[in-house]
Amino acid sequence: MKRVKRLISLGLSLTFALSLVGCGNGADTSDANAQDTPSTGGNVVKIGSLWPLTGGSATIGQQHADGAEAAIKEINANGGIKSMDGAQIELVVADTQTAADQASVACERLITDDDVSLIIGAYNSTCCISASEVAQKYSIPFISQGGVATDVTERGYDYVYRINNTATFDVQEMIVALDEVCKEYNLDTLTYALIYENTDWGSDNARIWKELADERGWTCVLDEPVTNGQADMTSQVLKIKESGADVCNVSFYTDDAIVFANAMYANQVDLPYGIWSVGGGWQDSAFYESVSPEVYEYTFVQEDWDMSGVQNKEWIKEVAQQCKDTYGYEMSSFFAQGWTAAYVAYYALESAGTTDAEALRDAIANLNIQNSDEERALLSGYSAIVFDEKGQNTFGGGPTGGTIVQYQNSEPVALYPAEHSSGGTAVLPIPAFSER
Amino acid sequence: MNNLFLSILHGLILGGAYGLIAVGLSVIFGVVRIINFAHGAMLMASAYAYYELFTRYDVDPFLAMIVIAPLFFVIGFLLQKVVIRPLLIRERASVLEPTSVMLFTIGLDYAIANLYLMIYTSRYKTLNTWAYSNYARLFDGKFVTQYSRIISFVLAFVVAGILWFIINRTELGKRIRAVSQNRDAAALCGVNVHTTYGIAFGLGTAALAIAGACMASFYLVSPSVGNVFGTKSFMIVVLGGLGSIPGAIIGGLIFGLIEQVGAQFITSTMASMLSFILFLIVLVIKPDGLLGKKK
Amino acid sequence: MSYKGNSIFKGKFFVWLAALCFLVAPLLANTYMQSILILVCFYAFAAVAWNLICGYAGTMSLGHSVYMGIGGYISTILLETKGVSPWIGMLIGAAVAMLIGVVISYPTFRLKGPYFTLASIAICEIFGTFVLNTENLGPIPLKGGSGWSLTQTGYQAVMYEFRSKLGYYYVAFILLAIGVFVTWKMSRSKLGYYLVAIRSDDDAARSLGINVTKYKLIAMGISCFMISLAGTFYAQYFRYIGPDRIFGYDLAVQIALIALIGGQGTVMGPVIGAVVLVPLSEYLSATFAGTMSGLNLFLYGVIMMLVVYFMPHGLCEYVVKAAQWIEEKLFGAHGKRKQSKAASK
Repeated sequence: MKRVKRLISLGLSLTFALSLVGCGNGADTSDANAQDTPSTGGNVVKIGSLWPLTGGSATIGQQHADGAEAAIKEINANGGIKSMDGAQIELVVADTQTAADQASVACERLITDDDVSLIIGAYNSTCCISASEVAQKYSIPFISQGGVATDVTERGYDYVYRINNTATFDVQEMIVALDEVCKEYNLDTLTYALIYENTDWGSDNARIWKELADERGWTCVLDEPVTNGQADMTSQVLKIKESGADVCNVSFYTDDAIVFANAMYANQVDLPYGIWSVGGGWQDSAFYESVSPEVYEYTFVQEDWDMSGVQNKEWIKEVAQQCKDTYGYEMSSFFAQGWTAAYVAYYALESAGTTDAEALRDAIANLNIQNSDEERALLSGYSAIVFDEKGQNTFGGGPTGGTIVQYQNSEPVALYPAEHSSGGTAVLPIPAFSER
Repeated sequence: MNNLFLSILHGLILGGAYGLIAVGLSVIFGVVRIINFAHGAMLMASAYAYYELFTRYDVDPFLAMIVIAPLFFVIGFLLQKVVIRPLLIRERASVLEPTSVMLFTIGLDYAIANLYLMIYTSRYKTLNTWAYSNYARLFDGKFVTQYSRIISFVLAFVVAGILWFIINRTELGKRIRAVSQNRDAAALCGVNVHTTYGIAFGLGTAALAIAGACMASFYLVSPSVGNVFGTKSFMIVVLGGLGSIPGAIIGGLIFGLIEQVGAQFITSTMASMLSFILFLIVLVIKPDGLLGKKK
Repeated sequence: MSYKGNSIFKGKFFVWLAALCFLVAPLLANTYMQSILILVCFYAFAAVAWNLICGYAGTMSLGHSVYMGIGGYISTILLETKGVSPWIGMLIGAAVAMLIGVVISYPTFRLKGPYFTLASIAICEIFGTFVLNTENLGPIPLKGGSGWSLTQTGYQAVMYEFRSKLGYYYVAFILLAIGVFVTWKMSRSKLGYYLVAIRSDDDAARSLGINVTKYKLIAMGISCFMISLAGTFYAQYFRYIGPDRIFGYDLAVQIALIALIGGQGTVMGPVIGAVVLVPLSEYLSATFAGTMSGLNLFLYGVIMMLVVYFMPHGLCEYVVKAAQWIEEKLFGAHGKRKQSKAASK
């Protein structure tokens, strides 16, 4: 027994020793500035794909990673980077573990050990911020997708670009849509309830909504931050019911969204002008697989992508089928975001024709991707991707960014803004439960 | 019929479920005296077992319990006898490491949670059973809750009752109590300590499997679902009193009430802080918990 | 732990040897290895601080990261709002953390074993939840869930910001050296002996007239002070500090694990633990995280279980034994050593 013990101890010690070696393995003498080697001689270009694959945002991060993977597969199959002699792209996937410091470490590894030429990632705002900090230090372009905190593009970092909306835009879309509703239904003012998950995403949304609502003189009747993982939201739902709000703004991820939506339905909470969800769980197909259609009927959802594309464009329907076949779930905006980020990286490489970091940075800064029926980069439906001097995509948000849909007869009907509308009309005021 | 009354009802029902999840831990903690950090992960594993049976064979978790609970009893028993026993024996002998079992269960927790992540991915799933999708409506429709929650509430008392009966009214129970009070004295009386530990662990795990059926029927299934209930269970068990079965249920009820009733007056985030603060206060004032017996 | 004869892995010599390795290592490494070495020093230092109260006094805290958070937040808030140099902020934060640690721990010290552990987890959760949900504590901005993103000050060393990794490394190394020195001094002092006595059986210790609470509080105070320094380093190095991570259970467990697996209650144990576990988890992440999500953490958990099972006193003992075995093979066995080997069987 003693010998067995010794053997195992030795084995474990060897594992540890190997891991120290393994960490150094593949690390050549490259340091921070070795990235300015001119156009690739070899035929593989590496892009870092940094997402939360474990931890609280695992399910969302995985969808982003899948989307990026599918996009790169398609790009490689179509001949890779033509300006670099058909160089193939290799995605190096890394896990942020939904933690900012782990994101930093992973980004560090991608740059210094895996020698990636640029990085896409990282969904969570905190991870985007800390990972892009590292990328900026090494002068490696970082294409941020998913992080909505304003800080991402407000630090004056020339290597950091963001494709998606800031939280401000997300909420703004909804408020602007509500302005339309007020006009159409002759409402002087609205009362609203806020319910949101209490980390940065939900809290930011709530704060911005309040600011914009205050400008319009709307009244807040409930402000309810909720810790993730509530097994029962009846109490909060009863508060919403009692508050008599016209509108309820919700920011929840998938698990809380399921519990919340079920509770709102079960308790037959009547909100004349509806539940307005800032995406989150309502963008995840897992949500729709878990709740019955009556539960999400009439809900307004701010989708980060152009929903009408899914219904109208052939190639998008094909990609959706592909997603279903390869990954086993219905394509969601998370998948589309990952896809778009990967395509932007590809276009940058194609345009620069080199892996030189400065050239790549300039290529990204000068990108002009316009939406058209054929533009495969824009699965996520932005009308264009053009970065301003701060690195923010000017078409990531505001009136030409996402879409507000309302679920009618279990189908999402794109309604606002007018440019993304499918021509339908909103069902308002929402029929009370007693009339359904 | 105001919200306060309704929230009390909901708090009790939720609390019952919490108590059920915690009662298994209480037995393990109280008898074997180890913190099983893998408690949440094992709850999750049992939930996935029900998920499989439901999606493949259409078996409702409350029925599948009949098979899964004994299965988990065996798993718990083996875990204790084969894996944890050597650690316990070694721990006893040496002063230097009173923590190896706790560490081991932390490793086990990481391993199980991530194993399931690898197998099932992180996508949330729900079991759309009859009990999940249908709601009981009382008081003219003001009080609405899933049938699965009501069943869980009832089961909490049933399981607690059965466990209490086993521990306090059977020969086996006598051995369990002896071993938890004084290991060496029990051994001197001819009790096979480690087999008894194994049975206690097995009982705790079986209770956990039943709780898993309940949770899968009213909440969700995902690899991270264990975390939500794991930490809470420890607090509940200590609040109610180590090894006290009624204590676990009462602790659970208290937590449920704080969450639901508290949320009526303060935000749920403050309510959760409140439950931790309450836990600390009780610990400091009465470390044996509300219903714990003074040693 | 038995050190044989004239082994170079004995006592002080071992420590100086290790110090030399740490001093020189980053100069031979590329930036990736340097970043790993920084993490090793950082986690080692945090584990050393934890070890002071938990390893020696036997109170297992799984919420020690809360003091890291307090220190990190205070120095960051002072930096971002008042432009105070983090070096000064660090000391202020450490003093506050020490005070809070002593005050909070006092009532919890009479809790035994697992009760104390659970209390420590609860305390960490309370702080974490509070900071997560609070934008402003009176006049002090806490920034809730968004956390603090540190603004650049142009790589001024006086503002705890370095252009090259080496700057951060040597700061971490010096912190670690201080930690090891303090632990060593303490282990040889009256405080140290009392703590070991308390860990073995605190009732017996009390009956011998040892003021258990006083010594535990002293150890806790020193430990909180040190770990709060680690908190400031965390904020300065990662350039971001947020409640979900720094007040999180995961970080607290990580620190405890490093000390426990390395060998609690020993001077070099936490250091060895960090040297082994940090590169290991990095290696697992690098190799497996892309292929199958969760595989890296699964393996980490399995390895942890194996280590607990087969190396109960922590790695420290085995690493030293293995090293000495190699040494013996290289330099041949002396009569003296053969004898002591036979004697210790």
